[in-house]
Amino acid sequence: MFYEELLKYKPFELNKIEKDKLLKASLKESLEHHFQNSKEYQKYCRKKGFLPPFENINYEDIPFFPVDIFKNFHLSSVPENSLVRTLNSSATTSQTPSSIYLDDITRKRQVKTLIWLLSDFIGKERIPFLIFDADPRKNNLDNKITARNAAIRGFLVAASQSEYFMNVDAKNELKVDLPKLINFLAEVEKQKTKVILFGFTYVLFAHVAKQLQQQNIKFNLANSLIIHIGGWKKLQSEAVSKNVFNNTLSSVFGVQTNNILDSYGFTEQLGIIYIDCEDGLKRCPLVSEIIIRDPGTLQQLPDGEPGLVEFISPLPFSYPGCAVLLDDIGRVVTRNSDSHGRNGTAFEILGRAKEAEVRGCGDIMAEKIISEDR
Amino acid sequence: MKVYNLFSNGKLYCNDEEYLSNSPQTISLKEISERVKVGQGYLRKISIDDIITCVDSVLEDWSARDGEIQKQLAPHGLNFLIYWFRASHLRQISDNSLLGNRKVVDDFCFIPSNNYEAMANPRGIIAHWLSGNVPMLGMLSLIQGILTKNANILKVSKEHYHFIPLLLNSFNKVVVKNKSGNEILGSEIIKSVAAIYFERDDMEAQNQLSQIADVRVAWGNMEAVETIMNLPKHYGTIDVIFGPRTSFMVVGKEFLQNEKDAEQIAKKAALDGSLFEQRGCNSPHTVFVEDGNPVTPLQFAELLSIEMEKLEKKIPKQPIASADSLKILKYRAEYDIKGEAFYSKGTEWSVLYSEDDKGLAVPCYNRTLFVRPVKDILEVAEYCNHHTQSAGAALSPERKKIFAKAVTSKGVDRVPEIGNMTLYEIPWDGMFLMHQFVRWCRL
Repeated sequence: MFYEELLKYKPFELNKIEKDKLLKASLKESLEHHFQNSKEYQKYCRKKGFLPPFENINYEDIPFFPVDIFKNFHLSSVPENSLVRTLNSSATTSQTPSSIYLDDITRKRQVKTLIWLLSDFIGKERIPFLIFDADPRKNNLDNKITARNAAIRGFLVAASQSEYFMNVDAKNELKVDLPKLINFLAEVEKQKTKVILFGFTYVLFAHVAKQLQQQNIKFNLANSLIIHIGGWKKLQSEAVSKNVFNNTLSSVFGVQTNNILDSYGFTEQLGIIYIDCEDGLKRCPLVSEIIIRDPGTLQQLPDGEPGLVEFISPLPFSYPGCAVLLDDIGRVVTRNSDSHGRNGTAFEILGRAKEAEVRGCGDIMAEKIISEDR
Repeated sequence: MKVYNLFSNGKLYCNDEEYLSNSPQTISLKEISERVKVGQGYLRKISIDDIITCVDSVLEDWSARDGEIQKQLAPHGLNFLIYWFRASHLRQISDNSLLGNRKVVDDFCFIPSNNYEAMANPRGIIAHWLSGNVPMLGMLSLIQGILTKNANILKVSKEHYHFIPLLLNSFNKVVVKNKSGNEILGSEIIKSVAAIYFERDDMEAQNQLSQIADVRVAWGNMEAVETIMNLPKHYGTIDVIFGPRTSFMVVGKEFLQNEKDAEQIAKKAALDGSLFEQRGCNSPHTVFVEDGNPVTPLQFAELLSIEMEKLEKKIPKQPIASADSLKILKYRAEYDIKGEAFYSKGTEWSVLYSEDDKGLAVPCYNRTLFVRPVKDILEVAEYCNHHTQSAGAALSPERKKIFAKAVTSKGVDRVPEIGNMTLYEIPWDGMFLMHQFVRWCRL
């Protein structure tokens, strides 16, 4: 399989020409598979005039699915009996989660890809993950926490062991299990073990670091790392910058700020994570490429200009998710490598796509349908 | 409480869209109401025909091709206002609304059908809460407030808040002579009007404006109009609500017998589906097409798509918000898979067809039309209720009447021809507005 061939390289070692050659070859294989095996995808491609053989394709010509399509359709490119798991997206913005159907090939690719990418930032050895969220086995979780947990579980394949350090109180609020954390970290400090403190950006800041800071509780985990996911929207609305975030977490846990890793990813291409490089930018590894599209014309925008973010990857095998347009706004910052020699298109995510401030009169229909659904 | 003075006493305070960001002038609502009441005195001294002549003259300034008003407001429906504010039209709608004789606002007049003399006195102060989706619509309720000689306070929405003051200011340039040779001053007429802005959650301001009002006119979404209706008001205050509603079109077999006829309807349907980016209550979102005819619903969808493309060149699309673009793309992908989708290269317009779809579509706006087949046009009546406003119809006169009777009994208020859906007509939302703005007195 060509996709697995890609993983034999280091995620960011190839230059653009080398990468394009391999990625396009892998995409050809993947797109042909979906075209042959998903009648929906085939119809979609035919409608767009995108037909095999997919030789030396332009990334921007690949028909993309807007991310919400996975909420409405069961899109699959493999026989039903080979599906082993369904992934539900976080659905924190809209109310309906995406459903992604996985077979064994896709699931293995996701795990391999995640470990492959993580090792580039944290080394090859598997490390314990200390999870700052509610333990799904012990708590009655509401939808939001359940959705967060689905995202967290995706990462745990890279962990040697995992432990949760938060509970939900009577008001359904997250609280750090302080005795457990202090005991556990005391041992980590003593043994000078390397661990990964892991959680959602907002939870780590507001529910963990700020609370520990207020109680003047500090740790010294100089060998460890922090990985956070979930984006900045909520913290930005509270005017918390990345610097403030990093400095706060660093002062509480004693982790160096350059070991605090902001990670971005999405369910529709799970396994691929985009972690901040040395220059603070995220880069597309060998297995993916980014396109920024103008929301009006849908054309690819020049580097530097903000627009809708699309990711292309041959990873998905069981569903036609090779080109997905997200509801995020981002921009390509540079195509140069970072100081560690990491190649790949470097980008930043600027926030969620915004709705028009002025709504139409016909919104009564949406309101009516929602209330009838209730 | 902070009430920003955008236009009052005939003076323009809000010069541009930066006004609210640059320490705007605040004013008390008491002061505003006193100013408009003083201004109203002039209206009482002149005739409705004098007012109409003056308004008609204002249109010259609004129409100036290179003028600032055309530049800024043309994409927002200004030219429809110009058409609507013509003297002949204002005379016609005033007569229609006021027992057949507009002069009842000037004096007691004999009403032959009733066999008595009646006069329509202004109710006092009309407070208009304008919506952001179609900012020009507020001018329609305003002009009817002026013609009925009421004082008017416009609470504009934050979006495009400078549009209305700009239009009001044109009155200052107008002096006309009436039939008796007396000068009618636009600058005096417009003193009866004020435009203000305050934040929607400024409840003190909301309450005060509500309590000043003798008539409360609320344009907007459900949340907005419900908020206004729940504000305290004084005894006898009249409420006029233009809340959220949706509209659709029907194309009957009469126009589906050959491509030429269908094309003509598609052309008109494209216009209705493109104006105001479908944000109006009268904008259609669903097109029901009768099945089993030489031109099938799918073929009609394709014809419609051709006309949408042509129209986009004549009426260029307004910039689109990124999330709205995604919504369009989601619908397109969905219909590409389950039905047929016709659309522009960018997000300019979309025509979506599926034979399995039933009922009214949830609007996507931005020139997105959902074409749905029906066996018989009368089936559509079951989808109508008080939330459906206009049903554009391409039917024979006989069937149109039957259809209109069926859908209006369910809640629809208008059954215009396709192509005329976005016109603001009298009656609107089931009301003769001017009739609501006056107090009827009898000799």
